[in-house]
Amino acid sequence: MHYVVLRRILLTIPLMLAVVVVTFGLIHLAPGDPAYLLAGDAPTPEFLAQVRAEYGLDQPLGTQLLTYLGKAAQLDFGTSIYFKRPVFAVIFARVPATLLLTLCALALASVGGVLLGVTAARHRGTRIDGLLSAVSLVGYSIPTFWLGQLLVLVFAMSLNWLPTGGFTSTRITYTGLDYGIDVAKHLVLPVISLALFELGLIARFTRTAMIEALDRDYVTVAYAKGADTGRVLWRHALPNALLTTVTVIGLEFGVLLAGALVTETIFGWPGLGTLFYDAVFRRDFPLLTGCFIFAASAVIIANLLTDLLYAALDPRVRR
Amino acid sequence: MSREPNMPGSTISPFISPWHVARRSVLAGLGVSALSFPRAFAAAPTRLVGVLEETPSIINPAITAVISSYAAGTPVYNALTHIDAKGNITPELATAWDISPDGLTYTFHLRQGVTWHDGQKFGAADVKFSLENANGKLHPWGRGAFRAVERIETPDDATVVLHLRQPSAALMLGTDSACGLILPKHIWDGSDILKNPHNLAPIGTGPYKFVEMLPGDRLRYARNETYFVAGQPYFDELVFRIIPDPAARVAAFENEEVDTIYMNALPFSEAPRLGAEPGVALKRTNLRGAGFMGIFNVREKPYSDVRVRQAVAHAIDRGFIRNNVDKGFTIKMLGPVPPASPLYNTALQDYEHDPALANKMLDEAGYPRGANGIRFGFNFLWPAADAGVTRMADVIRQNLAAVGIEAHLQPLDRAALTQKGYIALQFDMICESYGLGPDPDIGVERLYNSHNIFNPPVPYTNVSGYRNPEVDALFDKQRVQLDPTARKQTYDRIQELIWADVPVLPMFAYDGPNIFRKSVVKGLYEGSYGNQESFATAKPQA
Repeated sequence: MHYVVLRRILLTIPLMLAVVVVTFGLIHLAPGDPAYLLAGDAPTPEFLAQVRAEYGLDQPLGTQLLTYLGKAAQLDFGTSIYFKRPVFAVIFARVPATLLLTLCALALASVGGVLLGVTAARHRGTRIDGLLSAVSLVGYSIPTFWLGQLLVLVFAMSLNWLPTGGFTSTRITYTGLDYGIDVAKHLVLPVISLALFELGLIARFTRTAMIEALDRDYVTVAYAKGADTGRVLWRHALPNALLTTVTVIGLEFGVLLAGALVTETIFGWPGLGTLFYDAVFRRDFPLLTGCFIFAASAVIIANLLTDLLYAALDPRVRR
Repeated sequence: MSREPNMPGSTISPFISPWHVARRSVLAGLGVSALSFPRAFAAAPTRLVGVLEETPSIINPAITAVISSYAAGTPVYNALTHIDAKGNITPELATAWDISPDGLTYTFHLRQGVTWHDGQKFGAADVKFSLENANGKLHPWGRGAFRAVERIETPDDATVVLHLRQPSAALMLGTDSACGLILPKHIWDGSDILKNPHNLAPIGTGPYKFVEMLPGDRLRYARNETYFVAGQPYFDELVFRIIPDPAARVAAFENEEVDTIYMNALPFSEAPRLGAEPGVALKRTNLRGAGFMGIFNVREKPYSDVRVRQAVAHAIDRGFIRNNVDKGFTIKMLGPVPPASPLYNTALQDYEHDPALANKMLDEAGYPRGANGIRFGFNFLWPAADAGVTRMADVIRQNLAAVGIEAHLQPLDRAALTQKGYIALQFDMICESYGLGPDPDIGVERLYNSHNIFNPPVPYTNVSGYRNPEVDALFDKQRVQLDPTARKQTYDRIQELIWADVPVLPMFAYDGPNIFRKSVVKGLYEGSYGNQESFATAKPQA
């Protein structure tokens, strides 16, 4: 087991290095000079040169990359051109909001998806299966930007139950428990918007894995021993089927942590997604590189944790 | 909550987070209940909620013309003067001013008893420092507006004297918020202005004090209790929510979560509908001239041929575009100067939409149709985020196809547009919105005077590569003409010449629509610029 963990961790090092180099190269290949975006309307050539020198944009690309790698090794990802603050600080300031959104959405999607998947598998081939499969297919297929706007239209604007977006109310400043309730109200729509896609995905994988598990001999043996359907489903089949589901959830957690770009933008959620969006359009190279590295790291770490969890769940992997 | 190491005070909160919950809960538990009892009987603070389309990178409109910086900074700062919607120059930090008969000396008499938000006294040294080091040196418009200033004297703390090398017809128009907001010397002196942390923690004399910015979420301001206009401002707090998605901004307004959306954050296509809703007011601000300008690249054939440019002007149905794109806010514009300017030449004749005439002109210019019916191509670039030009582009493509010109539409994001269009000059026409005020010397001349052709090219200058020695000479001539009539005559001639050469085809001029909920607030957007609103006169409805 220790060997498995060590091997996985060591493998992430060259992967991270490759991520940094490829990201750096890709971003600098895109057209657009951030100096012009910074210098504003009709800058003088001297002012432009000053801006370039200030951010090291006047150095050859190779030199820029080497300098960057050296500093990145010490967790110094440079200074955001747009925000004029350390990239590390800018990114981590947005992590809590994204983490909150992601965890809530994934929790909802995981519980709902597993329930839906198990129920569909239990009633395989029946109308219930058809209905639940349709629900999960719809959830998986609806574009997030459309769903988000639809939710706002119905629940915020027509019914006036929930706010249209943001992290907290701007009209009133709440404190204490009221603040928590206020944040929760602002969470509902973005969480649903984000969770529905994940719920569909998890439900479909769970259903397939459960159907496979229910066809296995140990299920027949369990029934033969007199176990009721509930016990067979939840105690015997599900733990085996969960291996697939856990893998999906782990992968999606990494992806979501990297920023639910569309959802966050639609709901004005001050997380990594909106930061990523801004960084792209402003050609904020240091911030964009930092965001990419953070995103890749999130996926790599989530995969690592999934692998470890996999090993914990499945004795065969540990061997 | 940690503080940024280089930030004075807790101006930018790095965490917009659930951790606030815990922190505030603890505070609530530590005896705030005792304080809250009398608060229950106090009047709730009045709060005006606006919206920004992005997190400002800088809150210092004394050195930049970035719109979000104006919107976030104007409530904090003041300028020497204020220019109202009709163009009248009224006192702000200066109570009066004298201009010598030769136009070479401007004496400003400053308001007494004004204090900065940190309690320091405002005076002539601040004005001299700001004009010399920020507005006249770094601000893209200010460099033009204060170009003629040779030296600045401060004979006493209440007087600032500007000595000019030559008369300047445009100088007074540079003294308002567009490029003349004044910075405190004691905060900025001795520092690199571009790097000073107060770029994100502004201290001004304006109606609202900056409190904090939560990047991606909101900016907060509090009433300046010592503002020099008695009674103003009227709200206790001002908040800007940051909402990047246009549809989400509109939804937040309709749901009454925000009270106002200024012109740059409001999708023009939504403005008429929202403005017609009960309880909502729509106010147009003319920006002292703004327009969607089609910049030709006149360096190479076929667009180096004036007949081709004139034919394109006849081919594009600008009347249709005016009536169908951003309808209700468009104004017919002929020539380089915007109709909002008192210098606009009303005698110019339009290039009427006439495909037959355009075809004839192109044939005569020596560009017959090929076997496929096409004469030549037209690389049309614009900022992809601008939905208005995107709609225009479809019309332009159809119009040009009718005269045998094949349009290649290239919507680009801002960075790519700058690189491909303004720097690499790979375009036949770039179309986007241009601020053309506050005076043509500042907003217009940059596009046409050959002195403004740079190598390497500089965006938003004369990127079309247009050269006309007569136009150059007339621009120089009018700059020192203090007699408005004589200056108008010179500008009339400039407009005739440029309109005949048509290096830039204005699609239309426009007013910016701003909306607010009149059941909540009144007295908004009284100036020329919707995006330079100080909110000093914004008053809660009873």
